[in-house]
Amino acid sequence: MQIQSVYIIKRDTGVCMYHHDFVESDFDPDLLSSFLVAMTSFFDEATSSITSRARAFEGTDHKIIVEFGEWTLGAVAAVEDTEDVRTRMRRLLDAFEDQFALLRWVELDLAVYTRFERNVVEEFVRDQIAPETQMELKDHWEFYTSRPDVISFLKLIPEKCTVQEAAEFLEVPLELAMNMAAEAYWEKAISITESAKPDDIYQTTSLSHSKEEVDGISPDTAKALSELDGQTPLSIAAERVKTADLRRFLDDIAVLAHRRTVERVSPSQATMVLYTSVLQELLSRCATILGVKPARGVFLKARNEMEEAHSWLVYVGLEEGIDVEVKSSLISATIRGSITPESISEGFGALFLEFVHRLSSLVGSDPVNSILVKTRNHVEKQFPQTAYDIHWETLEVK
Amino acid sequence: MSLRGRYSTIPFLVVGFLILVPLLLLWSWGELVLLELSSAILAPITAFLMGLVGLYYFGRESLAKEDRFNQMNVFFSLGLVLFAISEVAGGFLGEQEGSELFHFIFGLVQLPGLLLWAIGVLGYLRSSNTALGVASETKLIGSLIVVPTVFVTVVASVSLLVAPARNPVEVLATAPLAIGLGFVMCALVVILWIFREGKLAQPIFLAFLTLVLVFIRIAAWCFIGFSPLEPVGRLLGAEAYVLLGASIAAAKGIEHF
Repeated sequence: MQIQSVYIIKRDTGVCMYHHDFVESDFDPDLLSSFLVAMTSFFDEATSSITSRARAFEGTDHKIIVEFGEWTLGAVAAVEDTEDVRTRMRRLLDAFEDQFALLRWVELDLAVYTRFERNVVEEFVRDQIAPETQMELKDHWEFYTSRPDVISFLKLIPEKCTVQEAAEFLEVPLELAMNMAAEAYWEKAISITESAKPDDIYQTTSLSHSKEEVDGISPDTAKALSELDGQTPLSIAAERVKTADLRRFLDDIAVLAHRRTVERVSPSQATMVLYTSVLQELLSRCATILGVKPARGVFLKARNEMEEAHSWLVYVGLEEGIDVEVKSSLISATIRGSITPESISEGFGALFLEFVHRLSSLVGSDPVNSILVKTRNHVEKQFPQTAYDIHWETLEVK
Repeated sequence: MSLRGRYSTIPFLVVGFLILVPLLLLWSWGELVLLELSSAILAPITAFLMGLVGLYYFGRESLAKEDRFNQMNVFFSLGLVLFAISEVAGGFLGEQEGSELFHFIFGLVQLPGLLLWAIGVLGYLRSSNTALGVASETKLIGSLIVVPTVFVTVVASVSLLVAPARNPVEVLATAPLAIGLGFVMCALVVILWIFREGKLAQPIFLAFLTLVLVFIRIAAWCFIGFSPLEPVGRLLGAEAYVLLGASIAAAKGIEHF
């Protein structure tokens, strides 16, 4: 997600009612809020449109994403303008307008910062903390936080470790360690590095890489950079370059991601890759027993049946033979995040259900269930964690 | 399944019926010369026509493609064309019937067609087994070879013991054909068992029936010395070829399910 700052501004006056910087910043929030209000007003005037509104201001390495509430304006400085970030910002604005409705009419000290902190942590911090997240204590971290629970947590854990390691070290539940890490990150007492998992899909940010970018990275990982095409999970990329140490490979990728040599694809894109991999495997096995043409027929009929409920499925087709083809407009939507991972899961789930139902009428239930088991085993090797997101048991034919 | 898919086998079954009824009538009327002539003409013609229909349906795809279902049907069709040739050759050899040369040559000309069927069915069985993981491949192929070999060997030995006057060369020349047919038949039984619940069972079942009829024809020759060139043998052959044509049409119909 890589959020740098969050601002909630009163639209009438341009006063910044709440802001939080996730990274060190000397920037005056009031200056930025005035600028944003002025710019959005100017945009509205210049375009003479009631419906058109400024949605983002782009910098070279980050964007200021703007969302509108009824009487507030939210801005997030983030690396990517995605639908996910916008949805979170909209939820935050709704919560703010509900909780501090009085501020619309009068200016009062309602202890906004302390009372609203929980909401921002939930929306923008908590999700960034996973068991594999690498934490590193900042120098003089004790000056950043005054909360006794966070201080005692940070005092006991190693200087650099994952959240899971911290939980095991302190013998506390993982959930508690994750909450503590989120609090510590919020207080800026630690820095976190997004850990890379075998299921993750990364893409390189440029076609050629300077020596500095791959400095300190194992030759295997440097070789694997060309495999990171936004379609291949890290487990497969590691397999292709025959790396002996997967842990080292993943750590290297995390370092490269920190240097922005590579970047993780959007959650929607990752979900799309997962489901298209499953579909490809299902189709290949189906074609093995039915033949290519009937397999195509089964897929196309199942897809046509589902088009009404999930119109975007029309962009999932087949090239010659049974190679799954996702049309560029759908790929762009997943990159932008304008289609949510939930919609993708739901659509593909319905498509798979229809597909196996039709297939079972041709080959019988036992072969279909065997195909499902084999496909599942195959997908679990490629996506050891996210393969479980697919509801395999609902696909089983009784 | 669309109408085109559902009724794709009907024309073939009608043809089979139209061949069967007149030949039975000729037999009941005692018109044996006409019966022999008709069966001698009908058997190769049906095999050839069914082969052409099969090639028209499935032969347009490249055999190099990894599509075993398509390949099996292409091999069925090519096999039918070769069986048509063997039926014609059998007709020419008919004059030498009873000689050792006849057994060898007629058995030999049937082998290429049978070999193609075996390659097609075995390839499809192997790929289905790989995709579904039904059984260990070695065990499966092993039992497919052992069962017909033991069966044919035992029955042929018994037939030689019961009728010592029979020419052992005739049995030795026909036994490999019967074993081969038994092998393909058993493989089709396994495929049929795998897909017993689905519509795919229909073409497989029809192909199995074909193999049963051809097996009866060859086994009767091998076990009791009943010539395959007798009108009944040729009728069995013609009906078998029509059934295989129906199987190919049903397989094509899967595309229009």
